[in-house]
Amino acid sequence: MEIIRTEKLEKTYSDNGVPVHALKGIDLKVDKGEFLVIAGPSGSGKTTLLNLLGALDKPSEGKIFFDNEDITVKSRKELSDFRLKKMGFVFQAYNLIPVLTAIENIEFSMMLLGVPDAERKERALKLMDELGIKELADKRPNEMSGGQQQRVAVARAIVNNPTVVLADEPTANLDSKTASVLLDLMQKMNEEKNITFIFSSHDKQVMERAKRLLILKDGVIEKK
Amino acid sequence: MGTQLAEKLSVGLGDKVVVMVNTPDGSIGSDVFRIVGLFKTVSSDYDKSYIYVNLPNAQRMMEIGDNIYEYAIVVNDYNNANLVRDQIKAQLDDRYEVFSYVDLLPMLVMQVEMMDEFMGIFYFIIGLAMIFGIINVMLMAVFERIHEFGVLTSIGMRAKKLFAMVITEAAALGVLGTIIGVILGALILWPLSIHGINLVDFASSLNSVGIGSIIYPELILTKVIATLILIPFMTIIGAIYPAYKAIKFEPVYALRYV
Repeated sequence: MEIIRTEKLEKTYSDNGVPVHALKGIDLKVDKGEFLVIAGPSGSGKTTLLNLLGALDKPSEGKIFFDNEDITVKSRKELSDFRLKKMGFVFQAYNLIPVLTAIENIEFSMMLLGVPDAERKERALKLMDELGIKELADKRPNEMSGGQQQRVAVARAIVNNPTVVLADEPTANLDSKTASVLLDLMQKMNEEKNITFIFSSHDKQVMERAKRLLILKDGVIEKK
Repeated sequence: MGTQLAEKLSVGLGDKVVVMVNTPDGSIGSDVFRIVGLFKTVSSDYDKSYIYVNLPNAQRMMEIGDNIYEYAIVVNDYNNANLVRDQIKAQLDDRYEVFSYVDLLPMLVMQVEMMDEFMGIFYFIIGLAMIFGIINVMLMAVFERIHEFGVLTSIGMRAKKLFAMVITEAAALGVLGTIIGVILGALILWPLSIHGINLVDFASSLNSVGIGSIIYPELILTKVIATLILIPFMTIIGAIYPAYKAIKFEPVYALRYV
């Protein structure tokens, strides 16, 4: 079942007045439950594509359909709700809120959804238990290793049961062993919860796990 | 006799002076007095121009028998002067005139009013400077956290909530800062209100305008309450622009901001 479709997606930046074409007419279809990796060299447009799919940025041209609904015409408020309910994000730099503990970071997006306090805590602890990070509950990001932070970030990304999780170079700051544990975890969530994962990465380990691999080069899909 | 007057006349304790006055019938009354004491007040004008004599001596010198032509009443709070005047007036018949300083010294009233207005402008300027200070601090706080705001918006926080968050933080800072400020201020002011601030080095210039060389600050409850309300309110006003800036960042730009 198709969950994401892009039509002639283009993104042009202005670099000191000089237009830079980051994406040049991307047509992409993603089915529900995919474990898709978008690979390519630096500057190929991977992150730009992920940002557009996650409604963090607007395309210069083209359309993005999520569940057959065009998200490029949505308002900022609608896009916030869309990201909150449908999307999960895992960033290269983890991006946990530094002043919150691990469990509070995970609870935060549930709080935005208005989930009651007790239920939030219960769901967060259950998920942390599933991901094997329960013992990190009361630790702040600066008390955790990179791998631990990234696992908390994954928990935060999936706690609201999103349809799609977008992971931008999630293993880039991790050693290969930690990266492997993280990927196991994501694969498990993909298989057990049928969450669609879309990665941008040039990590070989990530590419090897892909159910489908897309190679992006100079803003165009070179190989599907 | 006022010290400065004594100085001017080159007289001291125990010296004799001749005092001449106009009597009510227009003639000149005079008497010889011996200086038995010198006084010094906070007003050099007062010290230059006044002497105190016993009432019977004064009445004799002015040839007015046992009569008293004028009473001067000092009230505790100058704001009550007109009230006291009206109360006294109500108990006396038409033969008597009762005036307060408001009637007798319109210039002084005008000066007091002007002073109040100047203080109003002064407070306004301080308030304005404070608002800009708050805007500056809050803007710095916002710019330091652009990345964090990017994370919050990317995981689905609505602009309205982000705006409310920044304002709430500012309000909390304002309330907490004001409470701490008032407590610290009161702790500093309390011993000073007992022992005073000694400005004896500036005594001569202060005395020339009728101000004592030791100033006793006073903690006025209404002003403390006004501060407790006004400062957090101004903090919130000052945080509106930074909060507006915070919600204007695109998530993708904010995430890249380090």
